[in-house]
Amino acid sequence: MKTKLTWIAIAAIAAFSGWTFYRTLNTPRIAFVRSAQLVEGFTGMKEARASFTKKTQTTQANIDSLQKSLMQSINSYSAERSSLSKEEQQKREQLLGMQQNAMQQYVAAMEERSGEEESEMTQGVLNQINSFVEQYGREQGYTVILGTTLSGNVLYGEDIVDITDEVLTGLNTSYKASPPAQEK
Amino acid sequence: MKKSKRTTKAIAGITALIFTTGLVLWSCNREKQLLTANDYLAWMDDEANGLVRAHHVNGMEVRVKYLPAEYLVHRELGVSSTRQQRDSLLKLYESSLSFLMTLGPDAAKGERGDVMQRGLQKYSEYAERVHTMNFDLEQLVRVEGNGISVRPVLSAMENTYGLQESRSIIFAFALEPAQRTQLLSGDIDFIYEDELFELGILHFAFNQKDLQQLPAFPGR
Repeated sequence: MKTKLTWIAIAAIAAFSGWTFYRTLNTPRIAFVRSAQLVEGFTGMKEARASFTKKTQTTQANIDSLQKSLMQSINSYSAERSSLSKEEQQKREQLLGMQQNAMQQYVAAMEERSGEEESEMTQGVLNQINSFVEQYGREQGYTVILGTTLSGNVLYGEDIVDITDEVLTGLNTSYKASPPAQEK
Repeated sequence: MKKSKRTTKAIAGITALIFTTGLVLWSCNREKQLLTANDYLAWMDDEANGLVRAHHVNGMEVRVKYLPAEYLVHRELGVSSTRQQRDSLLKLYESSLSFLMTLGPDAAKGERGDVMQRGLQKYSEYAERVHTMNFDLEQLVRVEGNGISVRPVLSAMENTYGLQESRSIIFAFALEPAQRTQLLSGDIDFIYEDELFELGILHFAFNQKDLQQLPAFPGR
């Protein structure tokens, strides 16, 4: 009788363990990352920003130089104006107007281009992050990785499911040390 | 008698150790003796040897391969060349560094399509991409290491006549002898600042050891 009870107990424990194991295997693994922290802490973002700033500085230097040239032309005209005939005055003013228009057009074009470049730069960084998170999630067996955004699609999450730090560490490591190529 | 037995045992142990070490060294050395040019090419393409690095971003794969000088000589002269010709060209190639970058769809993710048309909406964008890839890629690439940063002096895109979905571009970096020595005395970082496919800045890190311990090219 005692032996029978022991066997029943063992069978019950085994069944319970199996069920728990099955449940664990089939429980979705969900985690979240703080998106803003991930983007801000990513070395790729810092480098992309530095590179963008460098490019912007060159453009700004060109604009400054054009503005300086225009100011010099205006000052020169102001100084000489009284000694010029009406016809010459009109001609110089027309030239100054053209110079000013050209400069404004250049500034507008540069601003537009700069905006496009900034957007492309940000998109490039986000694509890198997304590709890494996707690979990381697959390798670590996550079913879903959520991202907190300002619009608030994740309102609360316990620290235990916050994987921002480990994702960021992996992201920065992978950024600098490129992995070997996959065999084709 | 006991002492003599112990000495014999010690000698046998040392002999076995020397033999094993010798065998290990011989087998290591043997790995580097490649028999044919095709073996060498296969060795270069083997990711474990550290000459190929890749990144997968946004459905694209970017691979960078270091091209050893001996390989470039072989590519140019083939097998029917004199030793003098090979040595002369080798000297020329040894004063530079060459890399091959391949941009293509990430086949592992099932991505397809010609990269030249990827994500484009207008002909003007296509024209700009073609122009950049043919003439301006040198501005987007650099090699860094040991405090040195150099841009390529030459880039050439292989024409595939639309038969491949990926595109390969070869980059050559000209270096002064001292600069080359300094650069190769540490790890090398090949950096591609992408402006064409929204991939961001990509780093391809090559270990100094991998670039310096190359096997001898077959037939040399």
